[in-house]
Amino acid sequence: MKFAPHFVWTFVLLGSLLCTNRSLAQQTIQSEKLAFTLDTIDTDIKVPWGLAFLPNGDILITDKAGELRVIRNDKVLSEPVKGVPKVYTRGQGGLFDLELHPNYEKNGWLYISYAAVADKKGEEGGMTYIMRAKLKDNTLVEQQILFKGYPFTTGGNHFGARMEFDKQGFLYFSIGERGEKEKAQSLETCNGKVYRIHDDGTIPKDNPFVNTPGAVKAAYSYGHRNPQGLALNPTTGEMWETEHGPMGGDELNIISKGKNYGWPKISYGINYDGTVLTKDTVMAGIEQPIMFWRPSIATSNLVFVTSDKYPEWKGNIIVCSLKFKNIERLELEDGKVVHKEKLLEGLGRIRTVAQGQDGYLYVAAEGKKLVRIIPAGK
Amino acid sequence: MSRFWFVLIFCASILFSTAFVPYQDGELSKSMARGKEVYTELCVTCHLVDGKGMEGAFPPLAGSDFLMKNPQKAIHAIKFGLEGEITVNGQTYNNVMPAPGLNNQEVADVMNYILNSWGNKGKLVSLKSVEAVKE
Repeated sequence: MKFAPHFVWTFVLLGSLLCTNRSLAQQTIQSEKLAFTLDTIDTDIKVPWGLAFLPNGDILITDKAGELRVIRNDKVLSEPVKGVPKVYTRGQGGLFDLELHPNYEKNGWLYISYAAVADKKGEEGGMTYIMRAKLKDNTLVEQQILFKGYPFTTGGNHFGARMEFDKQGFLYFSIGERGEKEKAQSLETCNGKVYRIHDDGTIPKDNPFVNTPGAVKAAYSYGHRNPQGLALNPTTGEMWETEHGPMGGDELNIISKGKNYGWPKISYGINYDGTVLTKDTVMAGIEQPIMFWRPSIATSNLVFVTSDKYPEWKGNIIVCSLKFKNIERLELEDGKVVHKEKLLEGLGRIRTVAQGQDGYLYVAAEGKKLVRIIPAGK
Repeated sequence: MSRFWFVLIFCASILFSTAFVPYQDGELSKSMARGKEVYTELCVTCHLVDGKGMEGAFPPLAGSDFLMKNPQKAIHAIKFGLEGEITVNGQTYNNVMPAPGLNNQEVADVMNYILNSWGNKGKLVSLKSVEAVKE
């Protein structure tokens, strides 16, 4: 009898602890225009990179370390997808992005970007490749490599590797300059470009450099450092891009045919050792970014909000930050960023953001988390 | 006059010896030089060129008690990645450092660089001691 009060207190304490945990998970976040809660799907993926939402409700997610995983009913299936190519994992290398064919329901094509491992004599290291395959019995079948980046290098930096289809069905993808910045200005190597190909890997006849001797024919724009974000602007049909700049020079760009985006001739950033990289931020014949971030946020991917779940955010861009572990919501007016709001502070290094088949925004963070943004009261 | 020469030679020899002292340890300095390249390629974007990191996000390496007291843990972090809460110089960090995918020699080199830069002073990390650290 003497101990009864202790029991009571223990229960009260336990109960209140459970309630606090619950309320934290369900805590309503009041942002400028929208109140929302976060639904967290715990994954065992340390570094998620790409997401794809299948018509049957499954979510595909890549683990940079080289595995393709399936999330079904908010649980990561223990068995990874079989048949994934071997990847080069030095530094930023690994298994990257996923993209469904616009006609996926009919043809089943899944596009995958990855750092391929050099397998030819005289080649060493890794380089970005683009492939497509179909998912059957948890295995990648009918694999076709559509684009092989070159040259290979042992460097572990700047693979780019984001993919996005446009409204006409062209596939855009990016390759970073692989730590060799001068090559971003050469049309003869794959470093530092955004590409445009047909869904089967063939080169569109109206690509800007098809008649340029020695040029990589799939190239669509050049002078990029490390573009890890590509998103179709649903209103204008333009391809928008985010890229990692040097210290203090991350950029948001609109990708235009045949244009030069300046790296390393112009930049708003400086070298990581504090030395000046270029004194120029503007140069004739070189595109200016829509905006740049100083300090750099280490921007990975971006997405345009089109879903009816978030009428308050419709037409906005969500950009994710690896460095500040948050996302930024950008409001646009006439193709310019007019307002910025930082959200989800401290969630973790955010690698990608995407809109699911269910219309919800999904944010993948390093540290085994995938969260779904749920508008409050809906 | 001979005293003058004696003093001159004496001073010169002191000057020369101090100039060369840091380079006598060839193994360490060679490893540090290779380590600096790895650092500049893969570590500098977060830990920065001065090793100070970013408070609250990326822990410092310069003057870091975590690094200097537990080189084994640092080797483990570089080999296999690090996640979860750690305390560095009294400040807690809860982040993910993905394994940078280095071979063991590169881990030793980059360890030697960070243990002996920005005022840090550590013992030579050998290839063997890196190989001995298991997941």
